[in-house]
Amino acid sequence: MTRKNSSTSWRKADDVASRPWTGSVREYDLIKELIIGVVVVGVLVFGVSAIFGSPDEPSVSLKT
Amino acid sequence: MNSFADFFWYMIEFFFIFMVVHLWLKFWMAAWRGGRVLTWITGVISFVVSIVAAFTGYLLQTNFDSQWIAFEAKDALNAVGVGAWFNVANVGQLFTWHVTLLPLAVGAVVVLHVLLVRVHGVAPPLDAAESDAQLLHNRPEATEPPEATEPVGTESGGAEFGGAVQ
Repeated sequence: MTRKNSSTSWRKADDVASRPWTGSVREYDLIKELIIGVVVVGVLVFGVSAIFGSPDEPSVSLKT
Repeated sequence: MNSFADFFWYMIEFFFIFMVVHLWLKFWMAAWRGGRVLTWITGVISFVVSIVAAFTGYLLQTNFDSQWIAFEAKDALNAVGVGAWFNVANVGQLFTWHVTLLPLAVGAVVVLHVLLVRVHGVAPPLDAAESDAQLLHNRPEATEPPEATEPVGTESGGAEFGGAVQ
């Protein structure tokens, strides 16, 4: 049996991609995913900046 | 961590890394299919506006780098005729662009982008076909409610996502 794959055109057509999805769906919480994403990336950035950040040396002035 | 500047710098680095990864993934998924072209276009606009925001950020370093970038860029911007409205040698003006106008623009376009995803739904996989069992099984009927949640799919999906994130 040959499978008819959906076209990659951006135009609306009479295919799976254009019709509302009737297959199985799963629940998700956009706010929860956003918060988890921000926390995970925040920790990642904190770690990377701790490892690769440049040393914070005080500037040289006439007083010092 | 040595300073806020390092944190800020890597935040932007990851912002662009994730944005480009998202761009490539959605490209190979052909996620613009089925009347979702505006979602793709708003994504492109947010990318372009982010690049302009990054450019103004480079200019606000107020060091030799930013001076060099500004005085190379002014010729290009004057050549296309926008130098009078977008003056890269004017640090005060660039602060307004970088701190207020461009973040608001990026935020607005991203909100629109996400709303469009919510309106149209995500594109089905490229190899999803009319003959797929779940699509044949869940044809919209007048007697059945539109939602078709499977308890098995929900459980495995939750574990999958929860496991990947934590």
